[in-house]
Amino acid sequence: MPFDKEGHAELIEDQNSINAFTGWFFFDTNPTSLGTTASHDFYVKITPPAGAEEKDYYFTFIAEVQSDNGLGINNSKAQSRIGANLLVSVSKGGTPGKKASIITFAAPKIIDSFSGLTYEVLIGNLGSSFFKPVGKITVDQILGSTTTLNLAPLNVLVGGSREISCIQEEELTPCKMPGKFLIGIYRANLSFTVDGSGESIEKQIYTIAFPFSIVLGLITIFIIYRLIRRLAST
Amino acid sequence: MLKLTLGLIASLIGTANAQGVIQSPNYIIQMPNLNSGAGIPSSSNYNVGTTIGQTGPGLYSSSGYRVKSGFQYIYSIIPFSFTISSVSINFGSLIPQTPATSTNTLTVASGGAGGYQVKASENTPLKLSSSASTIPNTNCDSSCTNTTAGVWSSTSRYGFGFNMSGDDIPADFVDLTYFRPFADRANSESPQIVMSSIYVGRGRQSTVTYKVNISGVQPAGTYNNIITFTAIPSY
Repeated sequence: MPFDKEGHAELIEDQNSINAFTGWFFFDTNPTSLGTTASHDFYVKITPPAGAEEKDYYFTFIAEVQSDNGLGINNSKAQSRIGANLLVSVSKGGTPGKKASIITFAAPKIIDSFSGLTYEVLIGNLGSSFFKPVGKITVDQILGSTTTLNLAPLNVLVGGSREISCIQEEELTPCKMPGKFLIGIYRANLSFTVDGSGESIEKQIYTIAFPFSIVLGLITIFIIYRLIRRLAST
Repeated sequence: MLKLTLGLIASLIGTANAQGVIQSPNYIIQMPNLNSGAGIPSSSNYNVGTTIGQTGPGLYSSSGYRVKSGFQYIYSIIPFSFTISSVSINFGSLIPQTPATSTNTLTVASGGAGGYQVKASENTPLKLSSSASTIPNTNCDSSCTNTTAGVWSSTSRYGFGFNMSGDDIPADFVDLTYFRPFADRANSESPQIVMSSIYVGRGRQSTVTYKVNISGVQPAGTYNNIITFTAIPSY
């Protein structure tokens, strides 16, 4: 099942793929009727076979509303399905190898003081099981203050990469420096660990913020002033 | 209106400082679903991060500890839900070169980290039940596909398609004149994204406008099909 940098899953629903894993799952497949505001619990028993390859397996449990369409009028019938993702990590030792890499940690090298500074973080998974990066971006303004942007602990799946945003009070946010006006040299250090333990993975970048718009505005005003004076003197 | 709310009963995603383990002589499964929270540890300054089956999602707290049940860390109190406002999209009697439209609304609440996607497809083009005759999927005024919308405003261009407006919709639906045909599963086409977001959200809502236009030579009869919308959270 391919997935993108945002953790979205691509459902593979061909019968051969489904048949390959039917022995793993046991749950009641009988249809159930639900009245308004009613709910139903599904209990899924998962039993990987003894010879299952040691790796991560991705599944989605789908519940769908049964629909037919025989109303006798020209119409389409909308059928809804909702999924719950299952990720099964199979290993004999209980400690599947996890390895991360920084694919991208970037920001513009030079910015205008009013344009804001947003960091792009893309983390890759080179190991055999998924992980969450636990870490932060520490931004030091040279001869100024220090700002900490906490990374959101998003799942990075095997063989893939994930765009990591930041988190503030349990809300996902872009990794953006606070404040409307930045000036000076900013040194940003990305550091994180895999699942909050082990060796820290780090990278450092620099950004220069300069008030180009203010300077351009002042130059423009000066030129206009000089022109007006010249016209007035002639 | 039909609403489905599926608790993540068998969620095995997430890491935990206090992990349960299921094991046999040959295998250990990490991070299994724990459907009950027996023996919740408690001590001062102790945070428990455990993915417990979302039978009781929420933030539980007492002095010194917090248990965030459900998807780890982020907005774990919002169940993933998907609602379609109206499941029957009626076009009435179809008149040649007079497009008929109908709408319904899709609503998603997504609390897990990473957002969600909604994909759509049709079982067949609009089809007579009594024969193989169909109203073909639209090709818009000049061109459009099930992945890229195009302008469809001409009354002499025939077919069946849809427009999206509202939250989290694909960018190719520039305005209400842009349409796509549905992916046709009978033709082995894969379902396509109609809503998508990477953020947590409540009440993310979009409107689907279905449009059908027939020619004067379209065989008479009642045309039907089934449009399937599948909502899946991100990992």
